[in-house]
Amino acid sequence: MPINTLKVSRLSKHYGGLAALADVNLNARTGERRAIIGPNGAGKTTLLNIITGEVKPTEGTIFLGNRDVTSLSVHKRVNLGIAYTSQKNNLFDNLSVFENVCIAVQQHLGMFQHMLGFSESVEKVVDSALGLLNLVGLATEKKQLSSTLSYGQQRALEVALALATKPKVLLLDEPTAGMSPAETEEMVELIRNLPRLLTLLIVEHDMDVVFKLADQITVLHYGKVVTEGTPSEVRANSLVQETYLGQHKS
Amino acid sequence: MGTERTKIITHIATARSWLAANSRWVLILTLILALIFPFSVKTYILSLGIEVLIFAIFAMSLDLLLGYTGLPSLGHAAFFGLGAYILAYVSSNSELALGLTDNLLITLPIVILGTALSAVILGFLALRTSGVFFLMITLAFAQMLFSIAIRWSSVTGGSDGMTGVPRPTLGIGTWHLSFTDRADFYYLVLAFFCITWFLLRYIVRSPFGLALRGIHANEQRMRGLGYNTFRYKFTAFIVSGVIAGIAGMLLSQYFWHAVPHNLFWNMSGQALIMVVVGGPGTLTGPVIGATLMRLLPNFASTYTELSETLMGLVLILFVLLAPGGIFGIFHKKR
Amino acid sequence: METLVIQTLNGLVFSMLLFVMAAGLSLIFGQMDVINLAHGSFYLLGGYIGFTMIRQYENYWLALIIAPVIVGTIGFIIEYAILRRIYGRHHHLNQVLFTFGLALVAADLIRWNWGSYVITVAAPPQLQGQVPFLGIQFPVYRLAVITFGLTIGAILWIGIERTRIGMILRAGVSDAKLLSGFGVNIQLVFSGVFAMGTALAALAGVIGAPIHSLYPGLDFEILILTLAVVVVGGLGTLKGAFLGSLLIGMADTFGKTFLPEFALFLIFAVMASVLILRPSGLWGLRGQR
Repeated sequence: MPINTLKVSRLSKHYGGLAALADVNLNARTGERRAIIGPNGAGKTTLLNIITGEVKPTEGTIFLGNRDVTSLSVHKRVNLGIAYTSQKNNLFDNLSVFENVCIAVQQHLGMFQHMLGFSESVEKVVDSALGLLNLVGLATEKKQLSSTLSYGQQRALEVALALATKPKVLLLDEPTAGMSPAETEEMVELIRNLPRLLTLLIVEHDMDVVFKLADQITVLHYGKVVTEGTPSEVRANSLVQETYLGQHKS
Repeated sequence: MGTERTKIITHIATARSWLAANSRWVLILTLILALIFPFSVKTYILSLGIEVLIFAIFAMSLDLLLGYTGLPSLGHAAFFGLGAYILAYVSSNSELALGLTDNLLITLPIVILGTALSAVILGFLALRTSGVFFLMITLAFAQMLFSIAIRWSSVTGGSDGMTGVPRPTLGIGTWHLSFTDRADFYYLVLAFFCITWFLLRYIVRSPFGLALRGIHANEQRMRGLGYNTFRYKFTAFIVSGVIAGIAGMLLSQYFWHAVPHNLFWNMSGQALIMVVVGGPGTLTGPVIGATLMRLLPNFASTYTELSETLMGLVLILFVLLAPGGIFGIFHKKR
Repeated sequence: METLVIQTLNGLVFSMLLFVMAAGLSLIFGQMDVINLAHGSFYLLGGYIGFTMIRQYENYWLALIIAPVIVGTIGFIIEYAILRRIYGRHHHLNQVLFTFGLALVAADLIRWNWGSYVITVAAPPQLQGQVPFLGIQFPVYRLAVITFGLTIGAILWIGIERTRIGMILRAGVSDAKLLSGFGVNIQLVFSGVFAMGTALAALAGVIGAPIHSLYPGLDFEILILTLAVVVVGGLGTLKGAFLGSLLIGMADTFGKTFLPEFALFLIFAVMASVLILRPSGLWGLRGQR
């Protein structure tokens, strides 16, 4: 049984005098699907960026399993198993859908194998790239430029890229933002069917999506964890109802 | 007007698909033409052919950085000139040089090693930055080498450069080939050109090449996929530097000397223009660009006084009107 | 000891020239994200126009005003007519390539018009001769250049920190798009800044002509050193341009005195150390892009 746990302890981030995050603790167990919710400016994206390594925290530590990754660079964290899909589309525009996935899949081969390009490893890359495209439902679009895909398809491709890095923990930053209801439905289905051992951290505004996917919820407010617990516990929390769910329903 | 335009576009498309369908035959035909070239032309044209091939090698090496990896090096002449000077230092019979040998089996590895080493140093420093900083630093470094070549005359021969560079030979034991004759030298350059072409084609089509294109498109995302992008850019920088060095070596052998001008910003500019004009991110593009840019001054010989103006204007025109280069005009953006 | 004082002063003189250059380059970059590779060409053009004016009217001070105005106007036209039309996915790179093409054309046209021999320019009569300074005899003109450079620096600093235009420029450094939201004509700001930057280069050209003479090739010599200044000092700040100029100006002057063959190697070493320690420059406003 792999230990796909992510532990964030006492994390703070200050910009000048402003505290974007203050003393945040978060503990995601193996296979857990945890949603992070909170109003705009609550520090959700900052938290994700610190976990991926794009942003350095002012204080605090991040553990993947029992390994301290706080001081590691972005690409080293990815290789240890922390993958990320960003809020905005972040693809390789001038490459085909297939090439996009290949880049992600071939990564673990290492540079020298890339240069020598052994045919059996190339075949493996092609196979798993096609597998991923099937998984996210983009097999027929594989020859198109990624920039010609619809918005929803591009987001699905993002997920395929992230999965290609064989993550232990997958961070999804607003996976359904800006999608039509039908696209949202597909994305929720795609995320729901991800391997159960994969730990998910989902930042999401759409509470329907949150309640469909999450089995744990962390509520952030002004950079602090206000409450956390199962969806029903969080739903019952009066503070959350006031500050967040109330707003949402209105 | 409109139909005329569509007609032209259709013609281009037909030509393109024909080229694509018969690319093997085009390649073979080109090779045959290249092989019989020395028998069918005057010495003057043969000289031009040699120059075009050498500069095509140089331009292709720059394109690996500029067009494929997205690294805008403005100091590629550093490696071109270093290749020329290292070769001259090893093989020239002038008093300044070692005058060891003209045997390629010895000189080529030395040139490769020397340019690779300088690429390691310059690449390590320049690749700590990106974008316009990278561009400024590469330009500055190359220009510093130029200035050292001029000032450190006790070693480099100053502004006269190093003369007495012999055309190369190739030999083991009693087996011996000489490339002193112009036509023979042409075949040697052609061989280097073909090796470079196929090597670079292999590189850009390999997973490594795909990674380089990924870095060009979105480097931050590449890191987010677990790539140590520095290593890829560094490797591309070294490969590119070594190939440029080999082109410089050939040029000094061809002209019997290595001169500071080989290191000058103008030289980096020429290579850059060849890539931009031909079509960055392709291998054929730089070759087309090199051909045009070496032929252009010859046709416009009355304006030789303003040849740089011509170069500059061509660059400006392509940047303004056809950023994809000549190749991009025929090759609709995928 | 005497050499030390003289060379320190010479270093200061050169630093001030570089500072005026680097301030213009940095100003343009701060607003437009473009490195103007024709900056050295504008320096040389300014110097030659100044030289022609001095020969024509025998008035240095007129040249000092007119040459930057002419070159600034040329800069304005270039930005207005061409530079702003270059867009695309990597449009900053294309704009830089455009300025590189411009540098090629300018180098040729300048040589074509003014010839390829070295032209020496006399200092204005009021500033000729030498004065005793810190126990040595030092040319008046050079002392004037130091004062002049410091004055330009002060004017720029006040202009950027204390005026409305300066406020617009400072806001433009952080986010040019933001400005158009406040009803500022951003295109006009760009043209103006480009004109201003090129005028500064021309100003440096006129001031520098009596010291460094004028000759083809000087454009790139100056450009490279200016690039070294912004690599070391960082882009987008006046402070970076000033302190970077001092570092590079001194390194160049002392290098030329004590290691004549390797003066540029010393600068290379300074650049390399900065790149290893702080790749975006010692006093740069923000990271490189």
